[in-house]
Amino acid sequence: MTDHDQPVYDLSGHTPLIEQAPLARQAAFSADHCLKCNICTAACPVAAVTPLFPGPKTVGPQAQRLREPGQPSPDHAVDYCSSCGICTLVCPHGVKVMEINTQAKARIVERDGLSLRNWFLSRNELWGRLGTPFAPLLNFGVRSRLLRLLAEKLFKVSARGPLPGWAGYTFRGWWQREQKQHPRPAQHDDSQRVVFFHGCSTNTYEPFIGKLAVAVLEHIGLHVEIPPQTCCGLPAQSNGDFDAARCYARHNIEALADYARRGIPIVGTSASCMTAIKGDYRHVLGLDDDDAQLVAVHTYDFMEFLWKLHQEGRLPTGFQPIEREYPYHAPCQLKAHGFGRPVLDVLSLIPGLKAWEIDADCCGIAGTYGYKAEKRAIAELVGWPLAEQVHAAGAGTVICDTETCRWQITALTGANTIHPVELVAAAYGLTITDKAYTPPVGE
Amino acid sequence: MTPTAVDVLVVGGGATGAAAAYDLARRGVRVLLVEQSDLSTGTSGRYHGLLHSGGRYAVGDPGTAAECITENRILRHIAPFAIEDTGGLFVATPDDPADHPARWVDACRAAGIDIDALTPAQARAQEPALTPHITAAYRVPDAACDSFDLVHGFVEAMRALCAHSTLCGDLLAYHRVIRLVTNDNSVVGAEVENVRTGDRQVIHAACVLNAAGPWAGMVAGLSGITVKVKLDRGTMVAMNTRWVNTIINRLRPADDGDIIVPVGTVAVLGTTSVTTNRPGDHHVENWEVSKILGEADAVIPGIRQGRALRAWAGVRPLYEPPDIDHGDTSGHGVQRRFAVIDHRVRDQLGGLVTVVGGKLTTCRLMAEEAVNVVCDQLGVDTPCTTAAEPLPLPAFRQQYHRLDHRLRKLEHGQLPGQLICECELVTRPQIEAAIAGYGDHPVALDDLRRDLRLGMGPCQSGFCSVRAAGILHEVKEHSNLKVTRALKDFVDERFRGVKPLLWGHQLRQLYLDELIYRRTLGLDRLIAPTPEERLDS
Amino acid sequence: MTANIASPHGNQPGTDVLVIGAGLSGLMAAVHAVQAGARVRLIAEGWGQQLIAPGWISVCDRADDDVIAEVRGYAALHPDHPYAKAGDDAMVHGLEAFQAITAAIGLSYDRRRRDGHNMRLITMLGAIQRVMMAPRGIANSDWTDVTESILLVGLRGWRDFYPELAAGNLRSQGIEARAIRIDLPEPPGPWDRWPTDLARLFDSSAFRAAIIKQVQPHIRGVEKVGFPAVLGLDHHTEALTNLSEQIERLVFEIPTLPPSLPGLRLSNRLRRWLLRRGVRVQIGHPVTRGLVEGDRCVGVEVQALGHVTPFYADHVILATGGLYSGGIQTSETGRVWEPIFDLPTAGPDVPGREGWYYDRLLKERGHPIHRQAGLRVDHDLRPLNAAGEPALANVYATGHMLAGFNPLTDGCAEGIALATAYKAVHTALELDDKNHRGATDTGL
Repeated sequence: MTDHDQPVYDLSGHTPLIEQAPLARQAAFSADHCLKCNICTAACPVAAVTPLFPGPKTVGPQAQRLREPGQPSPDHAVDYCSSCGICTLVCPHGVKVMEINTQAKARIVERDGLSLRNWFLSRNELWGRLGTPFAPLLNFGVRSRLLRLLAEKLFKVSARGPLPGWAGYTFRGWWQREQKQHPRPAQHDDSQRVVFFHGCSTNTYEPFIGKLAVAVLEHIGLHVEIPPQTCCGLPAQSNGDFDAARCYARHNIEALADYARRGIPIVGTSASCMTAIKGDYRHVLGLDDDDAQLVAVHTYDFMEFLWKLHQEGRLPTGFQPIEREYPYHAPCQLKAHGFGRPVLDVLSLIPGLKAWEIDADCCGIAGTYGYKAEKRAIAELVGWPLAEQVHAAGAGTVICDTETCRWQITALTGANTIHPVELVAAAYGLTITDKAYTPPVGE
Repeated sequence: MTPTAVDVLVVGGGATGAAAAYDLARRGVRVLLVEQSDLSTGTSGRYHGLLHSGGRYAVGDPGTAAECITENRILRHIAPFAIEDTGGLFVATPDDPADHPARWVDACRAAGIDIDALTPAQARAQEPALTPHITAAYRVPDAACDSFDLVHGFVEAMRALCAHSTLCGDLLAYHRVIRLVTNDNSVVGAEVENVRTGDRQVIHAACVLNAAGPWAGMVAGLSGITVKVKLDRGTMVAMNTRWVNTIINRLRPADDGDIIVPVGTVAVLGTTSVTTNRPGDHHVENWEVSKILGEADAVIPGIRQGRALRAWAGVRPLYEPPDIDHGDTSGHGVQRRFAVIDHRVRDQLGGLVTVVGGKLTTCRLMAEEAVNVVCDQLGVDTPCTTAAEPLPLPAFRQQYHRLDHRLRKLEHGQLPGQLICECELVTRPQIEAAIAGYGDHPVALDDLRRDLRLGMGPCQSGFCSVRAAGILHEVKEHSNLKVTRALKDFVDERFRGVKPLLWGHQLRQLYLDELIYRRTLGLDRLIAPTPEERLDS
Repeated sequence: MTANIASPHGNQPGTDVLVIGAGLSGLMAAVHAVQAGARVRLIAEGWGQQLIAPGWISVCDRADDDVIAEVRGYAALHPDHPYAKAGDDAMVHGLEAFQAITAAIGLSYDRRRRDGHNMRLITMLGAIQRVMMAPRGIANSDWTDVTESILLVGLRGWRDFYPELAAGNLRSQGIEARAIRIDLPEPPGPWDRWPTDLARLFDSSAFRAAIIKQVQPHIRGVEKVGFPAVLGLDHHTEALTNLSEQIERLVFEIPTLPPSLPGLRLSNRLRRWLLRRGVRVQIGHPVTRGLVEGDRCVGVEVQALGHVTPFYADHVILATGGLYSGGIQTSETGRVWEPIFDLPTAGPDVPGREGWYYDRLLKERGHPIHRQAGLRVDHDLRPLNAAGEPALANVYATGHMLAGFNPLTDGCAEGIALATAYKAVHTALELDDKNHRGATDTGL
């Protein structure tokens, strides 16, 4: 029993904005269902590798009964939770263990404030945008071992954490230019429209993913719209900065609600951003209003959306063969969606392509967790079973839906990593102009 | 050493008996407290945990209401360690009589109970779980009171006062009074039997104070006199979480299922009222559980779907004065919910005083008035001073009703050692200390439960019982058979309180517990059922 | 809940077999279906009961001699028992297929091949459980032919194993046993160790060496050495073999409190095996209702994040478990129901909760609710509707959710899970026993 004691406030003002969700629907309340069976503890990838984390049950439903309502949690061990959410998935009794723990982390931040490092990690949206004009300089910094060690000393950002490089331009900027140069015909039929949610990474680090996504969606015959949007808020949320996370969330809900009302699907290539929009806004941040629900209902992960189109008979299946075999890592955030493995389902439509799922709960990075100096070693150990299987398969390329996981997998294994949209675009024979991009299957 | 002669033998280790023993010790009287089980295991231990403001009785029983508010303030002063100042709310729903709140407000004012009117919005801001359909809400000075802490507080204070005497100030637990020794129309002592060993002994006393609660009629009956005690069974249900942080009373004429008390980790819902003829009638019927949950759900929507952890019943000893009652020295008339009977006056039998009825909130007052009569018989004229001075903090008990206390300690390394009960955060060193506290006496796992809350959380001892049994075997050096039997007894005891609540998640929990006991441990293969157990169905 | 769909979904892209549930019967149903060449999807809300159970395979614990013969005899006399519904052959083949697949994934399960009797296994309280089959480490505790003493090894400072108490109770039953405690070579951390923590330590040969050194001085006159069931997780077989070799005595495991290491090892390995064969394994979200067209279930809906997601399939294996796992639900008012297809349960017949439980938890033969609150099925394991007809042509129920047995007291829970999983898949895919490829498809 915790969160229901406190009304949810708008960040800008102090008026209670959102009607309380009924008690029994709140994540914290699901602790009531815990049978202490410790299946979650047995499955927790973090508890498996560090004695500092006593496991999700101990800091979650067990501690929850003993937390003073409305007061910060006294239990600091919860800080070692990576919020990967495997605990919530394996629980047979419906306890929202990860959600409880994330809310407890927010309580600690409420009391003790956010460290400078965590503030920094929570605002990759800001750094992505501000850094773009200085891409060459910053990319040098990111690649400089010396500067990274300095950053580790000063800011406790791990020198081994796989930081991306800035693209030097933004996806949004490209899209504006693109529309000027190649104006799309107006589309009046909402059923032929789709909204693309690019997320911060695509915007500033990997714009080619967004370009490919747009190309695929347009190839399918959909009219793509990219409304103003901001960070999904997940980095701030996992760092316990709920104020910032709610601010981002409200911004996005506002930007997307009108589309959702018209039944226009919202599609994104980052499975973790989509987790936030579909689930966390309501279940973790407590923004449980009609708009949030409407947006969640109409939001799809990119590959989930393609599979849905296929089920409706709307996905062109004239794929060119790709005679390759790839291991696929389903990120923990993607597992939280509960939509199966649409990547494997869609890729199975491509002749010759064999993709198989790596048996791993989490790659270890868990958003910003693996960038923290004190947690980097844990993140690497968590990712070890994944790396072992990639090594054993001798795979040079791994498919994965989420950007930080891809960077982590590359850091752990040395393997190249690709987003599944790259294979879909290749099988459709679609190309994009991007100097930084090499298609997975060469010409 | 058990004394064989004292000034006063107090019968009954509940709140009244313990308070009386403490009161006597303060007045310099040599006192021995005898209890058939352990402290606070009768009505006092089987209550909802509410320190009344008196609001509940304001309309129907103004005298009791006035006593409650006075004693409420006194207990807060003398036993703060046992009390969590949750405050209380009285709330009315559209189903409740519309004219009741106004009458209630007047009655509270008359009784001296401070009440604050709240708007429904204010009430919901304080307790968001409350139904949006509140028609009236008032704040009252209710509190949650841990009766175990309170009773232990009285007993330890008594012991401290008598520390230099070997003849008094002791507690004789697990001893039942089987005979009152009389001499010339006067009670001069009692024969007690150790319920575990069957050993008997006579304890001489100038006066016996009968504070045996529901058993008071039986104790008085040992001397051939009649004290009519109306036994009224009430059921309570503990929910797995607190739900509210303020005590919630239903603002209507007193009825079943009116009270919700946040106590420690749980919320206690109560209660029902069913006449019974057995002082130890602790059974709970399914309809009572449904009734309680249904009434609570009207005030806190959704609570019926929450997880109920444990149900139990206590027997209220309501006093029924005989038609001609010379002995009611309290003089407050039949409205009084408690009575002190001077048998010297009423039955021409000296050396025996009975105190019966009342509430946990008024236990100190009951003790004071009963002890006044006892002292009158003894010729002691020292006045009562129990209201003035705070009790020393009990050393052993740990203020378990403070919610996050244990978690904070665990987090800060102040609870070292293995965590044995993961639900209620009980550690191995705590268990070892508790076992040591029993000296040479045998220890049941249920004793550790009462001392430490072992096994009282959601899993109802599924995990900690075998651990505690293992520790008992190691530390206490009980034989393996004795410990295995103790484990089985504990399993039976725990099941009694959860059986009325087996549906949904609590049913799943007991499935898990049963799986552990039967399959993982094979406990049922080690302990053959007794012939009586075989017959039970 | 079921939804009758207006438009036909029969041609939706889906899988051949959809298994709901990740317990023993669900996982094995997926294995059978994969081995038969089917495309398979497995959806479960959390792991099944193997994660809390001791880990052995109870087929008919009460059998005094040949277990299979006892089951055959019992099934012949009790046509409503799940064993009778599944048929004798399903039980025999189900057990053999399980033994084959577990051997293939590197987790051997043993039984007494010599006489087909139950083994006599030791519990952490020192009781004896008679069980037909168990993971090798646990099966090693079979006390049937032991002539010398048994040594139980406790780990000092660990809260979940009390070898002295177990040894005492064994001696009280006439079994020569004694206990020692050894130190863990690793310093204690700030928190108690979970069984999984210890198992990971036992995965390391250096750790085992330090354990072996402490046990060796105590093995005179000892025939077998028992440890809590934490001897390795990812490298369990290696740990078990290594300990036995170095201690020069047969080393066995004793199941401890949940989470169950034997269950975890099995679940992890089977999941990897299934993933490598293209099975979509999805754990974490409840199936909320079946999508029904006429007398067929064309798929199910999952309460996924944000919205409900449909999954289509030709055959559905319902392996959602019984009262523990939520395959059968109960309410305060005494309602008992199956939530996905709203199928009726065999009992209880009386409204309200009266009569569900006796007054003592450990009442002999257990509580009526466990026997009654399950599905009635036909001889193809298709659940019956209120009229006693198969509710759906292509839905099969397996394992704990079946009525007619008490999984806690009857000593047959795992046997039924294996028999019904085998039977359901073979009926659904119209396989005869020759089609079953057993463990020919091996490796991870």
